[in-house]
This record gives sequence, C-alpha cells and structure tokens, in this order.
Amino acid sequence: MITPHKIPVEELMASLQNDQAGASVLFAGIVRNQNKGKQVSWLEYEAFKPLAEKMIHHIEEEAKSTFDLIAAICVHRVGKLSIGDTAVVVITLAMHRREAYEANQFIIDKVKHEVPIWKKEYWIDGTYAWGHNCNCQLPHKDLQEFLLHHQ
Amino acid sequence: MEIEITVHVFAVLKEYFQEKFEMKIPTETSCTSLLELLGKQQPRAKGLLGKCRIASEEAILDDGATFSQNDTIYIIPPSSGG
Repeated sequence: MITPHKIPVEELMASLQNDQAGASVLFAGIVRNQNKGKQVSWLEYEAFKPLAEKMIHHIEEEAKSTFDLIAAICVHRVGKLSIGDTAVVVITLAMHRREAYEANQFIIDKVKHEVPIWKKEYWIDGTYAWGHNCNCQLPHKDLQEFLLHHQ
Repeated sequence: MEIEITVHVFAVLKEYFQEKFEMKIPTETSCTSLLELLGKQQPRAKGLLGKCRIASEEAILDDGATFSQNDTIYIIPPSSGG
C-alpha cells in the first residue's frame, strides 16, 4: 500500500493479530539525519502508485507462499517526510520467528530494489539528490527477471 | 508512418524531461528503441535511460513491446524506496 499519510503502525499490528501466530516481526524504515556524510534536512518520496501497489501486493503474496506466513503487509509513505518519520513498514506474522524474520527481510529488500518508488534527499546546505540504492542494488537482469514474472 | 503517444516520467527523469509530454514515434518502435530515442533528445540522460523500464498502469512492458496510437506510457527509473 502507498499512502501520503503517517503510517498507523499500531493499528496495522492490531489488524493482523492472529491466534495462530507465534511470531510477529515489524520493520520500520526511519528517515535519518545523515547519509554518506551529508546532513539530511528532509526527504520526499514519489511513487507510480498504480504499479507500485500492484507490485507490493505481489511481493506480499510471494512472501506468504514462500515462507508459509500467516500474514504480511507492507506500507510505504510518499510525500515530504521529516527526520524521524517512518517511511516504510513491513509486518510479517508466522508460527515461528525464523520465517517471520526471513520473510520480512525478503519483502523490504524487494520493495527497495524493485517497486517504482523514488527518494529525493534534501540536504541541509540547500542542495538535493535523487536517492540510489547502489550499495545493494540488484543487477538490472535480476530486475527484469523479477518484473517479467510478476506481471 | 507515425503514431502519437503520451509519455510520463518520474523522479530523476524530471531533471531532463517534462513530467508529461506528447511524442510522435515511428510505428513498430519498441520499448528499447523508444528509450534510445529519448536518449538522443537528451544525451545527458542516456546512461540513466539505459537503466529505465517502460510501463503501462498495469505492468512493466517487455523490452520488445510496441505501442499503439494514443497510448499513455510511463518511464520507470531505478527504484530508491525504503
């Protein structure tokens, strides 16, 4: 899900409550005040919402079947975010912690690398830069393969 | 023979192109060749365009896909969410 509003983390957790779940993992991506040695003033996220929501749904479903999850949800915020704001939340529920942890990382990695969402960092010196996930970006061919299998 | 399409760009591509514009292209232009055409229009964006994909509202299009008259398409730069 893509939202311009503050992500209601506690409400999401409550909505997923399930008596079969022995493990619940919550990942929250937070806006930090520095990146690559530069002071960040604020961030702006942009998304191609129709396709981004479709791809996030596919990733959630893939994670559920791959890791035998009870539930999975990912919510990404767009618009202007301040330091300390939550940009993305992934919640996974499983019978056991291992699946919940692994699935959670699977989801956030795919969302970061593959879903059409973009980050613009505004620096404290008044300049800005479009974000790159270059430290961990999948090779382009991997992206193509993923996209071809998720249409 | 040519067709006219509507092109939307996102994120860093807006540094090089208008957010939305009309474009006349030869019929049978593929996604790959459309990115090359855009690279000729804006040579500074050529490297970036080589990492982009083209999508409809429903799906990422195959590299060899072609377009129809009045299609609306979206140029997708590399993701940087999270």
